[in-house]
Amino acid sequence: MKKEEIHSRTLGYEPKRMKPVHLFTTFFLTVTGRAQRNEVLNQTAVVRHKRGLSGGYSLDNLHERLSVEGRIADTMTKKELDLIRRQLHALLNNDQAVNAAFRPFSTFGNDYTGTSELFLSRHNRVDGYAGAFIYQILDATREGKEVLKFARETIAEPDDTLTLLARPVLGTKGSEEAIDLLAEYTAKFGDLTSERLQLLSQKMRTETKALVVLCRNLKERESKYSRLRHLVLGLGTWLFRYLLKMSAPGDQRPTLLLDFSDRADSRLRAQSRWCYNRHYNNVLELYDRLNREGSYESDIEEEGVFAKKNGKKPSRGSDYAFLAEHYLELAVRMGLAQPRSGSPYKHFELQPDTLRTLLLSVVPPQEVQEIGDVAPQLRETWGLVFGGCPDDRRYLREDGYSGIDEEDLFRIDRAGFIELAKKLNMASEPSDGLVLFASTPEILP
Amino acid sequence: MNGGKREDPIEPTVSLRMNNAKSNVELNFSESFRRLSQETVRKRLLGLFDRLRALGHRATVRELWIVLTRLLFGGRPSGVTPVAGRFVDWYSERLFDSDNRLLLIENLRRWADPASVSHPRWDLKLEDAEGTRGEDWLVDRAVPPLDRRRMGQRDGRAMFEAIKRRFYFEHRAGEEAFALEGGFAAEFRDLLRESEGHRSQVGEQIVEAINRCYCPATSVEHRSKLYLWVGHRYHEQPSSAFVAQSFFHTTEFDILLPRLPQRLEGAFQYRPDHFVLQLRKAGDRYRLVIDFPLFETLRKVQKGLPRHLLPERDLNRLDSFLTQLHAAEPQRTGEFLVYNQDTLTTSRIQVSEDHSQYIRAMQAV
Repeated sequence: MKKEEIHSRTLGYEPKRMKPVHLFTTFFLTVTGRAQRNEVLNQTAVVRHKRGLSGGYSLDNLHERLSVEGRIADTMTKKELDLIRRQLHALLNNDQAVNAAFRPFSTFGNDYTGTSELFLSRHNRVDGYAGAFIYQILDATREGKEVLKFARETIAEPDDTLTLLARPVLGTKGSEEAIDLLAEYTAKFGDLTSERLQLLSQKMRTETKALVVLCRNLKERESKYSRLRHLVLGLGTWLFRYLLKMSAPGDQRPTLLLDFSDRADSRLRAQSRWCYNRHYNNVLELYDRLNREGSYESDIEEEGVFAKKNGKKPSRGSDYAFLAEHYLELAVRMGLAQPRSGSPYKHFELQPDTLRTLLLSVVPPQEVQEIGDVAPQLRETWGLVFGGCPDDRRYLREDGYSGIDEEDLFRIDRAGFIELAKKLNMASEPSDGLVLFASTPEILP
Repeated sequence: MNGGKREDPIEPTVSLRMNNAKSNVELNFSESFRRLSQETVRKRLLGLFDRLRALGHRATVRELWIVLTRLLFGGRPSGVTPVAGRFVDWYSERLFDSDNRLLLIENLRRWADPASVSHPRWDLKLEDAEGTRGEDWLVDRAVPPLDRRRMGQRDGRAMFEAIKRRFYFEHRAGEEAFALEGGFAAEFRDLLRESEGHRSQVGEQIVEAINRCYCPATSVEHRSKLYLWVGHRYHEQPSSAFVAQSFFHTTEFDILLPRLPQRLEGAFQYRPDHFVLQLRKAGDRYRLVIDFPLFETLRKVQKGLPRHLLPERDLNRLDSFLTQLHAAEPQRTGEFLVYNQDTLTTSRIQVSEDHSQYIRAMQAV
């Protein structure tokens, strides 16, 4: 079997080390069906390379080209152009994914922190076509189609500040190239049959419905920038949840035991780390386990499809490190796990914006809900456990977690969660013990 | 064993102690009750709570009960039985006993402790045995004793602090204890009392501070225009660059104080604990509520505190406000302001009207 076949059969996309901005580009390339070449943008926004800037990237050549093409005023000096380049680089590289992509350079990936379709360029898809995969699952349900409509309308909104600043070096509507990322996906991974689409969309139905609530909330009051960012965080969490569901053996639940206690040596932290490691191992062993269960047409271990490379010679044993990297990168970059540093001792703890995204996905617009309503929805939809539900301890025990029988641990965890939600202006505590949540602070008492 | 009643040598001591403890509690209660019954003392106690209210702090009734009970019965978080007359057991000390279980106490300690505010004239008088007159002490009609030889030591200083607190509650001029209070809290409280004319100057300061949260460079325009800053990114890390092109003039905003609707005026006493920065042209749709925490953050920014040290809660509120303002049809120019945190530079980039050409770029100071 080929690698692509195995990826297709297992997850439906190639699990890779990817950033949210990679997911943004592929998802929106699929949604819009259009791409820009954006050679000039790339030559302008890239300000350094390990081999030094040369060719179209050197300041002299770029100044001449932009001048000839009328993209800079005749009076503009090289020093001024250099300043523009540095500022554009800082803004478009906020996700640290911009690379020199044109001759004399080449790259595996190049993604701008963009806010409109004019920034969507096609280079190697670093997300392993995960964006195109999500698109197809969403497109298979009525709820999913509402998310896609929201995405299509948002990215098409004209004249945001970032686009206007980069406009002189961006392509135009006329220079767009129609692309069919779904056809590319099919060529690489084969067709997602209607039965499989049905099965997977059903499996992810709760999460997809939550994305609809998220979109409705975002549409209500957020700016274009905020809508795009929270949508991408929502899609990334959706994908992470899908990954956990697919890799959990038996009837194990994809629970995320969150630790908001801020106590590195607590029992809760140890259990949250165990939760992180448990899912890590499930994901890492996914291909191997399915192989042992005979889920593939042939023995991929025997065939050495993912054989470790020892120099140029393949050696015994498979190397599934890419699965671990995919898991780790998604967990950290989507703001689900901490610390962000290279430490192997990670635990689940939501970053503020991720918590905001997930709360916006369960609290409908213009509604005020008590923690007793919000916590079960967060657990049901995204697997979040932080002591918000009265039966969280029993729930965890059923999943094999032990040692967090003390109510005190959950009291601290719950308080940390509520405190963060309050900081985000999404919760208030009008009286002792009564915690209310809303998507907008104005309707909170 | 001998058929007689066994005598326990410990029993009388325990009994004596219990009696002593009982009498101490009773004495302490009587003493505190006598003092807290004075109208001035009660008014000044409410005055401290009012200081917290103005800064936006709230307390549950449960917490209030606990604190007031402690004042009367002298109970301490450590559980030590009070001894009547000892300065550490004065009701005015109970109010500031550290107890991180009670937010009200922690807030009182931080924002309303008379001992934490220096007043050179009164401090000197309180240190001097004859600095104050007995008749000015409204409860005892006598100057509280202070062993001045111990002022250099820990317990001496604690005693002086206790006297400063008692001064606030029980001296005719007690309210002067806070007269020289500095800091943002006093400024904020003053602001809630200021005239409308003065508040327009505050508007400029607020706008400047918001701009500086995104771009720390100083500029005249930072006071006259509120820029709608964008620091877009997808991953979990903070943005390293911000850009702004749209803005509203500061004069388009009002600084407003909340008040009761006319039909409720006089029904009960209302004093604001926040003010509002509101875009005039759109009614009350685009407004930023500036309570004390946000005010304090903005003032710190003006004093040079960098963005990464600002509380996330306040940044979220500012982001959310600027985000909403995008929909209020701000003015736009062909000039973009960009702040690059990596190089710590601010630039102005001029783009042609049809956005097809860069006209000029310069580094802003």
